Parts: sequence; C-alpha cells; structure tokens
Amino acid sequence: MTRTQAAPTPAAQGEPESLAAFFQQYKRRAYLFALQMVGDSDDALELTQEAFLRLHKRWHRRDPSQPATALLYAVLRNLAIDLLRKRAVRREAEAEPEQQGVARFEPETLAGRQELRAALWRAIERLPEAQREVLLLRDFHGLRYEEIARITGTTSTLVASRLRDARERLRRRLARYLE
Amino acid sequence: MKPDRHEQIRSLLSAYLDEELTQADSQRVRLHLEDCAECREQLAQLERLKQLTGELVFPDPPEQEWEEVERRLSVRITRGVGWMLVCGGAVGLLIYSLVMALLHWRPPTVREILGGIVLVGALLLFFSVLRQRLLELPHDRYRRVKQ
Repeated sequence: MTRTQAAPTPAAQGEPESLAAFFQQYKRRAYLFALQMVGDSDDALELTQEAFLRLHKRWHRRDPSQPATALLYAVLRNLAIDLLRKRAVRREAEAEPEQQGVARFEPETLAGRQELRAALWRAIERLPEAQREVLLLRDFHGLRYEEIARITGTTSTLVASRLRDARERLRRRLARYLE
Repeated sequence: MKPDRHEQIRSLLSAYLDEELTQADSQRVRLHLEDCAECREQLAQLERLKQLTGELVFPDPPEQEWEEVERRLSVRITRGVGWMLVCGGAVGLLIYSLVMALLHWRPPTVREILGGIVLVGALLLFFSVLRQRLLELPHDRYRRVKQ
C-alpha cells in the first residue's frame, strides 16, 4: 500500500545514476501519481511504463543539475492529460453522460473506507484539472511550489493561487466534516 | 481591522501552511493570526485537510504486475536499440559500397546485385520509419519538457 504522506523533496534526495535503479526507486510514486490523475489502475500502470520508456530516451541528455523526478512527473502529467482528453472525446462521441472528475477510481477502493476520506477523495476528483494536479503534487507528493511550477509549465505564483483555490473548494465542500 | 487587509492575509494562509511565504509575509500572517479568530479557524481547517490527505492510502499493484512492466520495458528498449543498429549499419554499408563502387568500378557480380537489393529494401524501411518519426515530431509535446 502506498500512503500519501508528503514525501521529502526529490531535488533534496540523491537520485540514482542508472535508470534501472531510478525505476526501482520511483516506480511506485510514478504509479501513484498516474492513478490519482486518471483513476484507473490498468491505465496508471500503462502510463507509468510509457513514462519510463520516454525517460529512457532522454536519460543521457537530461540536465544532471535538475532532478529526474521533475522530468518523470512532467511526462506522466502530459500522458495523463492526453488520456483524460481522449476519454472525454470518446464519451462525447458515444454520447455517454458526463461523469464528474476522473472516471473509474471509486472511493471505496481506498483503504479504511471511512466516510470522510471517501468524501475527501470525491471532492479532490471534482476539482478542475489545473487545481487538482497542483494539489496532488503538493499534498500527496510533497513537491515545492517551484518544482510544481517547472512540471506544470507555470509560475510559483500561479501554483500558489491554484492551490489556494483548490483548498478553498475542498474546505467548503467538506465544511461539515472539518468543523 | 481593515477588511481588505483581512482578505489579503486570508489569501496567504494556504502558502503559509506550506511554508512557502517570504519571511516578511510569514511574520505578517503570524501577527494577524494573533488577532483574528476567523483566520485561525480557517488555518486549522486547512491543516486538518492536509492531515487527512496524508491519511489516504492507495492500493499498490501486485509484484507480478511490476515484473510484467519491467519485462515490457526491456523488450521495447531492446527493440529500439536494435532498430538503431540496423538503420545505422545499413546507411554505413550503403556509403561504403558506393565509395568502393566509384573507386573500383567493374560490372557487379550476382552476389553483389542481390546484396544491393536487400540493402535498398532495408533503406526503404529505414526511410519510411524516419519519415513517420519526422511527421510525428511536431506533435511530440515531450521534446520540449523542461528538465
């Protein structure tokens, strides 16, 4: 099981030199992010595999002064966004009713199954994509604003603002549990 | 207390919680919190939210799933290297053959003609793959991913 406690900042950790060791060290974190983004374990595994394959092509050309985890998250994020958009197009083409948030990851699959935690995850799923990704990267993966900005191609100020909006929405939606 | 100042500090609480504010802004928030029960309450709720996200647990895939991912990765990486070697070798062989043919011109033997046909076929395959890659390149959003 993967607990979503804020992890230490990847840039502050020593990253392995070889991609094989990097894969062993970060595969679960990559999978977790993919799962949180797309909500389906098979798709998450597929995205994780594709992300490491793309990382392999860039491994020897990457900037060694920058953490490879930032590149991994950036590639995963783009793959996940592609998949979510394809799903949306497919749903539209097949005239399926629109679903809230990401598709198939039911809160019941969370360990514990407490009402509050299920409600929290449902509320996170319903956040707008731009707010959800910064919340995931900050609160579940422990990245600093600057790192999130680099991964999402924005600025630290925008990250702070999206995060504030995301938390405000969650706080309002879960107000009755938080009081 | 001025309402606009209160709103301004309220908007900083999320970053304050993440310890992402400058020293001066952190100090401003701390001072405001001493006097503002509403902001203290909101900060406490944000802290509770953050604590709850840390308590969410997600299932890991079974170990054999990871073994399968590793196997598939290994196959695709090896295939990529194989294609690179085949294509590079074919181009090298063609250049070498052309140079040799120009330097020592004589009618080609049947073996050389057959070898040439195989080489031309391999080159056609190579250029078809190369063309496909070049066509896809403008749509490859990862080539601009910052490191």
